[in-house]
Amino acid sequence: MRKLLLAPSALLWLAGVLTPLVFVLRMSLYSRGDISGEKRLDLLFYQPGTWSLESFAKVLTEPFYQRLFGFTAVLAMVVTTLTLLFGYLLGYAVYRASPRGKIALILLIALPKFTNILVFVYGVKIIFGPNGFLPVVAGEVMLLVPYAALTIAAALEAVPYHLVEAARGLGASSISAFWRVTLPLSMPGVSAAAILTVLWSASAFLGPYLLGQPAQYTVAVEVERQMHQDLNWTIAAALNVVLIAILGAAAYTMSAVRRRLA
Amino acid sequence: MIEFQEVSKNFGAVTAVRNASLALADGELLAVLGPSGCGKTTLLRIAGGYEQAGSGSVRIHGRDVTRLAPEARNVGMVFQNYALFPHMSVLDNVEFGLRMRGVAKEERGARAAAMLSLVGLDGAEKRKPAELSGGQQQRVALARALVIEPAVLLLDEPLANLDRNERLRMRDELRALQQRLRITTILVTHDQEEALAIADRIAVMDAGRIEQTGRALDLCLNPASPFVSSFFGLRG
Repeated sequence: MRKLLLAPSALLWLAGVLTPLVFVLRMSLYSRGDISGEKRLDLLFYQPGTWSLESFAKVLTEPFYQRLFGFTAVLAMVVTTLTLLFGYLLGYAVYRASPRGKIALILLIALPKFTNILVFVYGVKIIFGPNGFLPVVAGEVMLLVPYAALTIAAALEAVPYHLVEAARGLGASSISAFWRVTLPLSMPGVSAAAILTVLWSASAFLGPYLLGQPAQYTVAVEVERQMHQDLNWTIAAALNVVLIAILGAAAYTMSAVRRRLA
Repeated sequence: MIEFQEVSKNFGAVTAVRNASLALADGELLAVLGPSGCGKTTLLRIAGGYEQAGSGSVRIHGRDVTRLAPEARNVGMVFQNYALFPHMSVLDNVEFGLRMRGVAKEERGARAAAMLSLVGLDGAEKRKPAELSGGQQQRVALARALVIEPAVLLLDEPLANLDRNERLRMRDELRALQQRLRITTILVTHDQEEALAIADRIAVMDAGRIEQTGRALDLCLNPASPFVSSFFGLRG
């Protein structure tokens, strides 16, 4: 019976996640499309029926792609750090607010999500000026902070305020009560938010694409470029497979660390 | 000793404590007895610094502590739900107050272990609060509050969450420990039997007001108000 209840999501996962992934994996293993001479549509994007590791060789060895992955990782780390910081501050504000204040704050935090993401990104562009690293980081952080804030707020809600009072009564200042009681007990929320933020910011597309210079382009942007501009589908697929592998390993490691901490 | 002088506290339009005055002698155990919502827990929280008195003053050993934060009062509080730190071992819980006072590691460990042994919890040092029974958690909370050698011990319904057998045993142990350490103690309870069994004196509270303070016998024989006599179950 329980297995039957899992069926819809299993089906959705099979059709929406696993099948496309298999196609992407297969695509990454074709020979590159023939773009020389007389262009034939059936050979332009990739060469059907072939098996080749040339795309992976390129993606893993060429300095351009190494820099691309390097920058994507740096961006993900900067965005995650700032998102957790602001997310914690907002989550803590929700935790300490009156019941009515909580509702108002949660609405305010979720408000940016009510706007169309393109409108939102152009808003960031107006505030943070010409394209570059700062607007990219600001845009991504602002897109992700609501998720982090609400995840952390939920974890903080599970920390009874009595514990802070007990710490104060035993001689802890409000700051040291926070460091020794509130923060450690809210770590499950922080680590959940961290996993979420790392995965999302490492696959950032809109922010870097619309707010960045080519120097701020991420793997996701390059995938789009290879698909639509260079018509090099095998490279796009290989980039995707490598990104998924790295993020999968990262998510696995972070979950393992999270379980050990719990 | 601890002294309340005409302490009042409002929450919005609700008066939780109205002109409460009380004085405890050194080593005395006073039970604040009243129905739920009578303001007894608020009075205790004012003593601990967890609520600010709206008016009036609280003095501990003659020092006015009315506006002091909890950490500046040297008062030990046992919360109704014990409020043990779930991420720390029993020993770390008990050591917490000493750590905050900058006591060196060896002395900290020794004093915490001695206190745990005093409350009958030898050997539980490394366990987490969640692995303990309600009675054991209560003992940890007590040890944690006592190890800092507080000027006053505050107990908020300390026996309410225990089953009956444990409650009776804990009640006697609590009293014995309190007398042995001669620690000035305020115990908040809604249970008259508990108050009668354990306290030197009882303050009966109703609707934010202290109706009468005195020895159990006085309250029974000379109740100051119908409420006091009704609370002790005597008629006429």
